[in-house]
Amino acid sequence: MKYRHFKQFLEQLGKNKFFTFLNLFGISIPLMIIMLMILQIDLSIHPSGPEENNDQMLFVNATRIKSSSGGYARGKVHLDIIEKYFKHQVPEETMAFSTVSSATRFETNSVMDIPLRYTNSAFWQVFNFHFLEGRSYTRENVKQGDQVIVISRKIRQQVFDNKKAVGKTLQLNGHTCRVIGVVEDVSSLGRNTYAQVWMPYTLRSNPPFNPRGMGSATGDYTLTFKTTEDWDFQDVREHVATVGSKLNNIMGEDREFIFGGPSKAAEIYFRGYRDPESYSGLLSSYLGVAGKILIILLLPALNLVSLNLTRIQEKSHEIAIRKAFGATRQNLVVRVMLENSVLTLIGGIIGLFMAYGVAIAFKSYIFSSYYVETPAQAIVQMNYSVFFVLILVSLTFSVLSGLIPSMRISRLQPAYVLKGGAL
Amino acid sequence: MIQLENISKVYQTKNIETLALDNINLEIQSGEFLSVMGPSGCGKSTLLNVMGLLDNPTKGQLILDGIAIDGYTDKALAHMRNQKLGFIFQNFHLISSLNVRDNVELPLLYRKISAPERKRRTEEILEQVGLKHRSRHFPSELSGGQCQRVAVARAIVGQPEILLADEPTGNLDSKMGEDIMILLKSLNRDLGTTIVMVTHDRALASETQRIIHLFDGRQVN
Repeated sequence: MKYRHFKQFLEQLGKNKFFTFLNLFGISIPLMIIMLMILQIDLSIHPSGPEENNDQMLFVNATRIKSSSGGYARGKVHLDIIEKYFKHQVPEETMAFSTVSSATRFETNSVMDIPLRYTNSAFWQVFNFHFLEGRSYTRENVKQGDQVIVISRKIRQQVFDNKKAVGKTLQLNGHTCRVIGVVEDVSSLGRNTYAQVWMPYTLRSNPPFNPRGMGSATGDYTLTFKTTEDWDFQDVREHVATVGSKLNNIMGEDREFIFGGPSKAAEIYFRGYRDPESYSGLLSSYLGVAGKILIILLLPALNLVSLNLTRIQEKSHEIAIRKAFGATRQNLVVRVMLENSVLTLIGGIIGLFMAYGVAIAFKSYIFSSYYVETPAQAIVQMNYSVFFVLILVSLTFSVLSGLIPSMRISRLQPAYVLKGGAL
Repeated sequence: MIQLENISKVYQTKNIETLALDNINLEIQSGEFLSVMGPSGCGKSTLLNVMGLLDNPTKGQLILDGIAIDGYTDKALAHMRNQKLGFIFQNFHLISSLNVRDNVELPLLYRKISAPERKRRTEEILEQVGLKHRSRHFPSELSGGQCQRVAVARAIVGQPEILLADEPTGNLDSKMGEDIMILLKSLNRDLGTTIVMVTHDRALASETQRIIHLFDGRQVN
């Protein structure tokens, strides 16, 4: 589109403010909704911060025990299962496990509830935390049950007035904990890492594993496997399957033990709390999302076709004159399509900014997490894949809403249109 | 230059069939200035539209510059309209969202001409029709006479071999009409442009080299 044509087109849009508003509104609102959907999924599957490399990870976050009488229990992974079947059987530095809890801190006039996560020491190797000061706790710290903690920047600010915190102590859940590290705040969308305080899992008491007591065969830990060249997805899957069959044998003939996973982060996001067995896979989840996007797109697209028919009807006089002076059908269709593309791209960019504005303003609601009670601290940032989707969606709008009417009008005889004839 | 062989045009709606042109045979020589007369609804504008490739005849053959038009692709027809033909419409048919300069420049946009050359030619023609000072104005800001002069400028900016004028003075006062007529005659005389003009005005028609009369779609000379 030449600069002059572009300028003329913008002038035309300015002259017809109501139509421009309707058109842009019709494009930007559905795009905003789609953008928010994609942003929500994208940020949940690929949260920034420690879990940004989760493409290389597999998670086991669910177990289910079914009895032949129809009863069942479900939960996460029991610590004893991890200790007995995983801890010494997989490369140590590649397996993290943790469970979320909360710590209570009594202050002079108030009680402070702090999101807490119990972890093993490999947790700090598996996930990429950014340390502001100090270090993480070691295998020895964990083994000996040292009362050491890593805290977030936010806690350092709240409790230590943003001054150096390493070496200081904090009273949490009856323990006098020594701060040994401070990390950058983590988004609560990071469902495997989010907390404000992290401490060794050995500081927590766990009920013993009992294969005959339905509820006490499940636990509340999530396992994370970071794959490497020597320890890949297949190795993880095979090991988990072997452990699963061993546990099945222990459970006895009247019970069945099922691991939920190992799954990728995206599978866990889409599966949510559903039973592992009832989840039909990532492909169907993505198809489901695509279906929702199509439905959201379809109505405004039809609406835009109708608006465009009106607009092109209005432009039919101009189209006929251009044809009379030498424009080919191709010239005319390309012209209308370019105008539509510009209009839809403007609508798309408005939709993008609206989506980010809404995402930032309402992030506590939009990015609410099942896993933590605090509002989500999503870091909403420009994402090229989202922007790419936006461009595609915008052009789809353009093709859907402009091509057919412009082709139809360009086929008409100029004399017919100049005499007032319509589509 | 223009040859019409047994040209008929029928407009068909759901219930009515209207015969707008009935077996017209006409040959117009290169450089001729010809007028078409007849009562309203006799098919004058239809004849002009068919000659100008703005409408298809229902029957018959149109030959322009020795080439039969039927079977021409959209691209070839567009090329022909752009290179050989210029139109002046009774109702001006200017594009309201474009200023005078952009309206006049229109035929040149579909030729391989550089922007500075287009600008030069457009300004030259606007000067010729006395509207250079109005080049930034929009059609809604002009009088009827000025609009018609813009329409004339647009029709001749590409120096077409054939100019088709549908009542070019119909909406103008006599002085304005006279000015337009002088311009057309000078184009015919100086550049050898073939002109076909539809008019109701017997005096104007008498200034042309030949008059064709139409009645109920038929040629009645």
